[in-house]
Amino acid sequence: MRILIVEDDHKLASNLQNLLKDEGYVAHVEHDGLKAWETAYVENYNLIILDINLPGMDGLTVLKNLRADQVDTPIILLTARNNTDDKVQGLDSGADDYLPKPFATPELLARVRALMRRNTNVNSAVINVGNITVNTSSHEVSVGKELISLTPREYSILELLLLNMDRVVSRLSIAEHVWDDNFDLMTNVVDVHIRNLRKKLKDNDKNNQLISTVWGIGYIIKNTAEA
Amino acid sequence: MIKLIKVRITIFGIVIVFVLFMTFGIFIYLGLESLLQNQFDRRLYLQADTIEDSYVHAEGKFKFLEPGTKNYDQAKNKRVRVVQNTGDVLFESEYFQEREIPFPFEKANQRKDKKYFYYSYQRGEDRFYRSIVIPVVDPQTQEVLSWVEVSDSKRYIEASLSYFRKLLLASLPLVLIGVAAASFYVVNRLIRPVSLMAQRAEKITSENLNSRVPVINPRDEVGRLGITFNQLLKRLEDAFRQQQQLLSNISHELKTPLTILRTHWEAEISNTRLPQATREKLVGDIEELARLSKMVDDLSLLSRSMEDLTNLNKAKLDLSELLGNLVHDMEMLAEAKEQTLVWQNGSALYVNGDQRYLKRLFLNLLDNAIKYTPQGGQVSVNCSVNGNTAQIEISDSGIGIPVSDQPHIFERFYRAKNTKYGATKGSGLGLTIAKWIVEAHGGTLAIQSGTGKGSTFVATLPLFLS
Repeated sequence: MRILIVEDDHKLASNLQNLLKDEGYVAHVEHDGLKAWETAYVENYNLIILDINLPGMDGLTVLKNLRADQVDTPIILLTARNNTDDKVQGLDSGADDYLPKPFATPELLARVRALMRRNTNVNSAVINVGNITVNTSSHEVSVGKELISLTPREYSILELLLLNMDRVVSRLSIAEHVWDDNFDLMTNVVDVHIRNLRKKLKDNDKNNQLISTVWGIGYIIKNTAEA
Repeated sequence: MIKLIKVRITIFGIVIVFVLFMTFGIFIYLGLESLLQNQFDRRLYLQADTIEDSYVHAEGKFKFLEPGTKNYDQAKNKRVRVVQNTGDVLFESEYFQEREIPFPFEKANQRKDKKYFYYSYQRGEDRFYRSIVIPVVDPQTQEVLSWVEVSDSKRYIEASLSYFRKLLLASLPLVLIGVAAASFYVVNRLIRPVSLMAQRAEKITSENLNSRVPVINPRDEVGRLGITFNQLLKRLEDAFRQQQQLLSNISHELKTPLTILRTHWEAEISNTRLPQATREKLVGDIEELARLSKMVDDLSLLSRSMEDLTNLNKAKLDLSELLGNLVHDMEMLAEAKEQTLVWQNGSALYVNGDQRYLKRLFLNLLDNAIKYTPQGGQVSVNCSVNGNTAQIEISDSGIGIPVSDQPHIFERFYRAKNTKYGATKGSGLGLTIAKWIVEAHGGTLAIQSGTGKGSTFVATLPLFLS
């Protein structure tokens, strides 16, 4: 899996590069918009993470040019502006997702994984962990053979944890993911949601829990296949 | 105190004109009185002098008063008498014959200079008379032989003066009305540009600092005031814009470093090689980073001017539904604090609003209510229609906000002094943003509270009109 990171801030770019490398991706970095356009056109990437404010050529133009060049690599736009106009313009220009800065790492990874899955094959839309099966396109969750119903928030939390498999997700990141605003207030509620989620998933075995608590930090779903 | 300057100036004008008019009137009156008096005295003198001149010393007779002559008849009809120094009356016209008017011997004898003099006397209540007395002096002995007195009623003087007084008093109101009308008109004309400026200036808020007051005549004093005021507005607008620009730039520039820190530290919390305590600290720091990010977001939201409000994606939406969903979300949170969250579900309430911002608004208010209500308290949400507006009341049973703090609670980073709960939580911009959102939707946000009585926030939003 090859990812191109286009970000003019060297430090942030290398942070993202390291993060994605840790996750097993091959990540390249470009700092200049014009160069990024050339690279993305010539090389073959599975995903592009594109900042809007760039020297050489701004991100939106890079995006439009690439789409005009028939490059249909999924693109996640990064921008400092939390502005609905930019968002709409970005998505209209052919971006697949949009992430305002500053963003949480689990959020970025979840979106990267979701896009990767969507753009490979249909089977990869289904995630299996233990006896739990989650279909990320139909949002269906089953325990064993039995289909269970989750509230949209519970599903959203489960999906975030699954897309960040083997990585601790802080309560803050969960709260931010589920509620757009006022997450500082909502971190307490995350525990309640997790409790309900465990109940529905019949995830009661303290020794072999699917969603495990990392004390003082957050929650994690471990890949049982590897363990 | 009379507030309007044109009324004040008009009254001032009336007072000044009244005083001037009265002074002038009294002056003229006194002048006229003295003139009439002089004329009167002069006439008396001429008459008396004619008689005195007609005295023939050799004969000891007044030629003028010889019975049978035309002059004699004339004198008879007037008020004339001649009294000898012995006290005998030499001649008396009918007037004196009929009335008891004593001759002023005492006064006449006192006149050592042997010159004529005047005296006044009164008969009845309101009849005033004046006489002239001319001594007839023997040219050899210089002795006073007799006195010639000519008298007349002062009625004509009185009548003239009284006529003049009436004229004066009758014209006074006319003059005053004229002055009042003229000064009101003139002042009004002078003041009108100022009034126009004031009207326009009143409408200038931080949202339309680009508007200017009208300048009618740029060369006069009022026009110069207008120009100066406009220059001031320009500077204010520039300063305000710069402040917003600065705020916007700061929040923009802060986002990349915040992202760097966040991605950096978040990568470490999954790092099991780090001690648990360090990872917990990192989580705490990330929460602080998130709070900082939120503050930056809030600041950049507040730095937008009202011109940017066209960016609001307004659409017809049901407030009742929005609130119901929010309350449902918050219930869990209230439960965690053992609070009761009461929601009076009403019928659909349509407003024209941006869902994202309205959600933010009520989240901020509910957040606030839950935060400042102790364990076991109650928070209630009420929706009602009031005329053309939807009223949403969010009440809590918390510590309340002292009256002295209430005017400030919508200011950025303001915290009431009696804050005990969660004093350090939140960005300190929640209520500022709430107010901003309500006003961006053409509504108002008010607070009713008192220490220990809990607080009620009332958001009033215009209803959606098809």
